[in-house]
Amino acid sequence: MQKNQLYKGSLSTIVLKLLNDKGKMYGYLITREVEKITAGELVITEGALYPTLHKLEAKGLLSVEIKTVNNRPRKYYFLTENGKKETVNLLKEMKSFIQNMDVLLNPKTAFDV
Amino acid sequence: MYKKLTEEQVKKLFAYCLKYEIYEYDLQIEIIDHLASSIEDQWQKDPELSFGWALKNTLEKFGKNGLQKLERKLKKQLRRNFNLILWRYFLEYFRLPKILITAALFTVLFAVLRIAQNNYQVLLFITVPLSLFAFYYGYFYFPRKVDIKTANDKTFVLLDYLKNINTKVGVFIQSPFFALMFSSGNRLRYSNAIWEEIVISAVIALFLVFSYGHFFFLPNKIRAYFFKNYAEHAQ
Repeated sequence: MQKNQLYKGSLSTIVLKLLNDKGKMYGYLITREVEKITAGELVITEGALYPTLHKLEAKGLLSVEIKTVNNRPRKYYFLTENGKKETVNLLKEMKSFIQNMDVLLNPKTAFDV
Repeated sequence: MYKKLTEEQVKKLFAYCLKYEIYEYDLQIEIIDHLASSIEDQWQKDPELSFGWALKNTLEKFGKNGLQKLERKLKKQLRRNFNLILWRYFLEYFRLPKILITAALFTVLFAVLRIAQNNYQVLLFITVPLSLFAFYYGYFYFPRKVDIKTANDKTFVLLDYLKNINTKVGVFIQSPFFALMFSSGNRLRYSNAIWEEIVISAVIALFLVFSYGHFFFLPNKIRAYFFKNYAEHAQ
C-alpha cells in the first residue's frame, strides 16, 4: 500500500467495493484494478491484500471458488449476501467519514458565506 | 493472444515455493497465481522477456524475503480466523436458545459438586468421564471421523491445524492425574461452600462449551471448507 497509514484501515472497504462492482476477482487482479483506478497512486501490497481477503472470508463476507486457469489453480473471491449488505454499510460510513474530514479540514468561516 | 505460462513453468513456480519453504498447497496456489499473473502481465508489454527475468522482476516487487513474509502473514491470519470462528461460536452459547445448554451444564455440574462429599468424588464425577471421553476422541473418533488424509503428497495448512486440534486431547486424558496431584495433601482443600461451587461449576461449564467448539465445531468447519475447495485432494 501507499507509504502513509491513511489507507490501511480502508483496505477492507476498498476490496469489498471492488468485488461489489466487478463480481468475482482474484488477488492479482484486485491489486491491478486498484492501481488502474487510482492511476498508480495507490499500490496494494500482497502482504496486506491476502490476509485481508482471508479475514473477510472468515467473517463470512466473502466466499471463494477455485478454478484451473492457464495451467494453475486460481482462487476467485466474491461477495456473499452478508458481504453485499456489509459493503453498503461500510460505504455509507466511508462517505460520511470523508464528508466530516472535509468539513474539519476546510472549515467555512462567516466570511466564506 | 498473449503469452501464458506453460505447465512446465507452473511446475517451476511450485518448486520455487518449496525452495522458499512454502510447503502447504493451500498457501502455494495463491502465491503461484500471483507470481504467474504478474509474469503474464509483463509478457503483455514485452513478449520476448524470458520467464526467468519476468520472475526476477516479480520477486523484486515482493522485496527481501517477501515470499516468506507473506507466508508467515497468511498463517498468522489463518490462526486469527480460527480464533474468530471459535469466539463467535462461544458467544452463541450466551444467547437464546443455546444459553439454555450452558445453563443446563452449569446446573448439572453444580448438582454434582453439591452431592460430592470430598475432592476425590469430584474427581471421579468430572475428570474421569472427561479423560475417558478424550481417550475415545483421540484414538478412535478423530482418526475415523475428523482427520482427512490426502490422496497425494500435498500438505495443507488447514489440515495441519486440524491435526493440531487433536494434540490437545492429551491434557484431557491426564486431567484425573492433575486433579489427584492437586487434591493430595493440603494443596487443594475441600470446600462445600456454595459460592465456591457456583464459581467452579460456571468455570467448568464454560470450559466444556469451549471444548466442544474446539473438538467438534471447529473441525467440522475446517472439514466443510476443505471438501468444498480441495475435495479432489482428499483420499
